[in-house]
Amino acid sequence: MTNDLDTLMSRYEATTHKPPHELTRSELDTIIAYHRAQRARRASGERQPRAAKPTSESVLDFATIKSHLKPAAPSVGDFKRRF
Amino acid sequence: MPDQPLPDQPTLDESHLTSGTTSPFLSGTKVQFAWDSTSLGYLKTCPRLYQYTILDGWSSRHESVHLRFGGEYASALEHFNHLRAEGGHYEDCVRSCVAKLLSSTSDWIVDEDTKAGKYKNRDSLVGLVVDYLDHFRDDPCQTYILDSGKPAVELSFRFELDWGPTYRRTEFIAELGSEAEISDESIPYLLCGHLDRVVTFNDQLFVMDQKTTSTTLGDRYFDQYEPHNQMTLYTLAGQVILNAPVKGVIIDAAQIMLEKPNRFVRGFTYRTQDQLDEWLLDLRFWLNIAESYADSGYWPMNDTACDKFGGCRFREVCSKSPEVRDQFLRADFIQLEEDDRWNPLRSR
Repeated sequence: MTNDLDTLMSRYEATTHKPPHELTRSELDTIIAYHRAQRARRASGERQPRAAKPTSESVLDFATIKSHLKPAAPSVGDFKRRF
Repeated sequence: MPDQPLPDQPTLDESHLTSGTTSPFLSGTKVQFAWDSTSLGYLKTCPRLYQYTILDGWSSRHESVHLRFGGEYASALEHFNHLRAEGGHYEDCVRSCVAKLLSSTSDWIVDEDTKAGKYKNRDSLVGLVVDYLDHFRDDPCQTYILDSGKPAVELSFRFELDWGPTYRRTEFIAELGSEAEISDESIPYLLCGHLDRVVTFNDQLFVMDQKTTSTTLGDRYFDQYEPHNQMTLYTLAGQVILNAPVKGVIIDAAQIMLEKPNRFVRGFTYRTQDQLDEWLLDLRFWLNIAESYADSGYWPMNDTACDKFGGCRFREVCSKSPEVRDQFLRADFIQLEEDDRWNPLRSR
């Protein structure tokens, strides 16, 4: 199922670069099939596959790491634990 | 299978269908004689909103994602309904519909990082149309077929009311040999608009109106259409142009979903004859008020409506002091040429 959808997705993506008036009957059928497959995927509860995002950064890139660091907040009195 | 006409078919008075465009205002005045649900809705909501949009033609610099999406969606379904009524095969009609939609939206670029753009963009539009067509493949609502054999989809209508505005103007009167002010009430008010589709359901006639939304389709959503200016006018229009007892409007609503399948729910909103009569009586008062605004050249602000429907687009302008308001209006909006402004008499 996932492989079928992947194949359909790559065929669909190929159509998105073409001007609409140049789309063939078969390419239009691909677009329709893609949307029907997306509907089936959503109905099954499967999440939308997303483009891969970088999950880590080079440890050598100190500037990037620094931008993620926040100074520790100073203590401002009693800390109340909420349960 | 093309849709079939009702056995006792009401007749369409085609004189109520429209073509061409003329000004909706009495010549040389700001008195509007041709009204549709949009302009009337603005007047009822806030006279200043009516002034800015309808009279002065101020428009947002950026195209409304909601308007474009809704318009393209309705056009695509209209195209499909035409093809099906002509006996087209289902899959051929879907393909033609998608081709037309891709072509008409090829110039449409939406910022998908905005909330509106996330739900309403070219890709979600094509998906929504395909989902709608598949969902209603065996539609219990049948498109009403006109006497001409054409399906009753996207009908632009106009009909006269039995009263009109007072047209005060100065004219040269030959008998007097001079100019004189004359008061003329011979031009009737017109009600105009566009019906997405007229359908038969359980042997009854309904106007069908397509809506798209990202909000949940429950009672709360459909409650907004009762009472409702547009839906009452459409019921009345359906009765007048078909000369038949149109019961009300079916709200054909589509909810655009991001991670779940799109939802389609139809809500019925009925109007009795007494309700239609009351709406027409109220209309006399509203149009009389519109005339008095035009006579005085002043359209007051209704400052209790600014936060309605997610906030008025002119709210920022109206919140400024009157002496600087014009500058803010010019900075944030563009003034359309007269021919490009909203015109109820423009046929689709």
